[in-house]
Amino acid sequence: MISRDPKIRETLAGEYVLGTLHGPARRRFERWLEQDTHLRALVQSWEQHLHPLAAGLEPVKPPARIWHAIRKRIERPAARPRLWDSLYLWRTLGLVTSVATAAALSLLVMVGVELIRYQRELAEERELTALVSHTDTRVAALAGVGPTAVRAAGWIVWSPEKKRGFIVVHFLPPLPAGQYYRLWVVAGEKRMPAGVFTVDHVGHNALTVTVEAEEPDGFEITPEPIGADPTPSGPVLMRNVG
Amino acid sequence: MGGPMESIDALGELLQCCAAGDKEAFAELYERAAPRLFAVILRLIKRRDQGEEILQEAFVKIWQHAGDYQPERGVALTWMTGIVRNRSLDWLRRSNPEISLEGVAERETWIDPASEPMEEALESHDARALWNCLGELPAQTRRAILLCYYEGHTHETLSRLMEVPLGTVKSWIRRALPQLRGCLER
Repeated sequence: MISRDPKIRETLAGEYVLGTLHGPARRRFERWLEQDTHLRALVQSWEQHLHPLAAGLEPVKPPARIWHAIRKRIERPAARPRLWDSLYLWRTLGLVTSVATAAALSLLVMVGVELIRYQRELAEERELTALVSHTDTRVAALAGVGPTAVRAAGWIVWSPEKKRGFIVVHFLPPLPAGQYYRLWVVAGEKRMPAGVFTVDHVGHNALTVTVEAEEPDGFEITPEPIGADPTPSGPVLMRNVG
Repeated sequence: MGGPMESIDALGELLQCCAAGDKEAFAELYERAAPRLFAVILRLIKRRDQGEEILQEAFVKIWQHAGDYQPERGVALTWMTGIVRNRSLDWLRRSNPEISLEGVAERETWIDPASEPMEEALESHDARALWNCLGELPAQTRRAILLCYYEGHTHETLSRLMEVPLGTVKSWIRRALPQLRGCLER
């Protein structure tokens, strides 16, 4: 059990981020981290303080093979993806290849993919349930603006207290590469960025967003490049109605 | 870390899209962040083959856990730096390679706020504040902190490199950390 002394906790968190903890001390600290939210917050705050040091390093372009390997891994994520990189596994398979083995491995991959998807959906559903059941929750309908987004429709539900919202859109047109839809919270003349998203082949997405304004006057959606200036540059393709 | 306070954290937005399963956003995130994170890894572990492995593992983790990133707790590059540093440090401590004390002097020359990469980094408010606060520490203590952060030194290797007793190194760092936090939160 880690000490309750704030000075000791503070120093250990700092040393962990700095990297001086090693061996059993580092492993012990990581076990404490799993159970102690206050300690995690201390570590996060030290990361914010110390990691700007990394910005001074000259960037090093990684070889293309790393990205190819990553892309393969995320295309078919298994529950234990390192297994697929194991030469031993493939050698063993070469010896005992059978249809049954291959089928079992395919099943494992499918279960892994489904598990990750299920965890994401579960977390999203929990957040949505918490949001809609909150006492101050509000809702607004969204409609397409202009000829390219005439079929677009959706809604946003948000809690001024939680400063969180959940938005659903349908039938938004596809965007060129490098462009993303950005939701803006309208407060008087100001437009505050509230999140970016893309849409699937039917122009659909549903996601959690940040709604900073307590009493927003409305919502707008525009196409924008990532990391653009915090003011809208593209045309408004959706806004709230009613 | 990151750009000026008023700009949008582009990497954070890309992470947000990754959390929703957007692979194009992930490709762009990799394009923008991988060279900076690869530099962090190589500086720590000094082995390119292992560095490539760590970068690959880290980005798979970033993809799988993008939804855990919370923008209110800091910029995205900091969150990702934490992931690659932890993986690099785990490897360093697990495989226990002898941390080379050679070439440290050459590598230290750039740890200078007047150098070119640093000038660029100092455009960030957080980095500027950090370097100002490091400047308030005694020179030996500052050097010890930087060597731990960039080179992955432990108290023991630092004590050998700096030719001071182990207890001295430990007390430098333990005194410096609260001093740094006090300065950064002023």
